[in-house]
Amino acid sequence: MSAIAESPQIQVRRNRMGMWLFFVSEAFLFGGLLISRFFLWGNTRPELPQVVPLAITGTLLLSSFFMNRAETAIANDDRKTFQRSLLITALLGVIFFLGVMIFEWGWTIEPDGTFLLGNHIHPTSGVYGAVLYGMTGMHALHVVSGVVLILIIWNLGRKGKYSADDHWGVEATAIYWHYIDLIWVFFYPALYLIGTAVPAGH
Amino acid sequence: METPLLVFVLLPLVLGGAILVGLYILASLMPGVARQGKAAEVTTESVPARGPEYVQRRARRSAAYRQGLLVFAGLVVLSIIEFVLASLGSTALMFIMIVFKAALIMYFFMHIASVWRTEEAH
Repeated sequence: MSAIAESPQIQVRRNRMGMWLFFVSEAFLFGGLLISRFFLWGNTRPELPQVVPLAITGTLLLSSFFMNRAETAIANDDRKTFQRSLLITALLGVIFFLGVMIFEWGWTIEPDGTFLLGNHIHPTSGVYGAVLYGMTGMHALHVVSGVVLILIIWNLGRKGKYSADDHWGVEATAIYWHYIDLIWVFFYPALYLIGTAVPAGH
Repeated sequence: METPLLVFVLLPLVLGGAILVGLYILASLMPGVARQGKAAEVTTESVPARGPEYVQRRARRSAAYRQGLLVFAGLVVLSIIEFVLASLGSTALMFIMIVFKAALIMYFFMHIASVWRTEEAH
C-alpha cells in the first residue's frame, strides 16, 4: 500500500484519534475551570434557584439522545430519522443555550432598550460570580459551536453527502456534542449541587 | 496545603481511575465490540429493499435505537439519584453517580472503544 493513498478505514481511525486528542486538550481547559471552582469556592456554592439548571440539564441529556439517534440512523441508511433527529438536537441545544442566557445569566431588556445582566448573581460578585459566569459561559460557547456544526451536517445530509459507509462528519459532530454533554455532567453538580449554599448576590 | 493536594492530585487521580475502571467493566460486560464490528462490515454492502436480509437489517436498526433509548433512560435515572443525593448531602455517592454517567456517555454515545478500531462506530 502506498504511503499517500491510505485506505478510508485507516483514515477514519486517524480522524478518531485526532478527535480524541482534541478532547484531551479541551479537558485541560474545562478541568482548569473545574479546579478553579473547587479552589475558590471550597465546600460552598452560591444560593441559586434549582429548577432551571435541572430543566436545562434534562434538555441537554435529551439532545444527546437525539444526536445518538441521528448517528445511528445515518449508519443504518435511515435518512428521514437522521434529518429529523438532527433538527431536534439543534433545537434542544438552542433551548439549553437560551435557558442559560435568560434564566441563569439573567439577560433582560430594560424599558429604555438597554440590556441588563445578572438576575441572581453578577459577574463581579466576587469569586462566585466570576467562576459561575466563566464556567457556564465557556460551556455555552461550545454549545453554540455544536449547534452550528449540527446545522452544517444537517444541510450536507439534505444534499445527500452522507451514507451508511461514509459519514465521518456526522460521527465527529455527534461525539463533539456528547463531549459537551459530558462536560456538563461534571459542571452541573459542581456549580449547583456540591457544597453549602451561601447568599452571594449583587 | 491539604486542599491543593486534594484538588490537583487526588481528585483527578480518583476520578480518572474510576472512569477507566468503569469503562473496563462496561467493555467486558457489554456484548458490544466484536458484534458492532461485524455489523459495520455488513452496512458496507448495498441495502436490500425487501427479503430476509432487509428484515434482519431493520431488526438491527431497531436494536440500535433501543440501546440509545436505554442509555438515555439510565442517564435520567442517575441524574435523579444524583439530585436526591445532593439534597441529602451525600457528596461521595454523588461523585459515583457522576462517574457512572460519564462512563455511559463515553462508552455508548462517544464510542470510545472504537478509537482503536478501523470500522465505523455503528
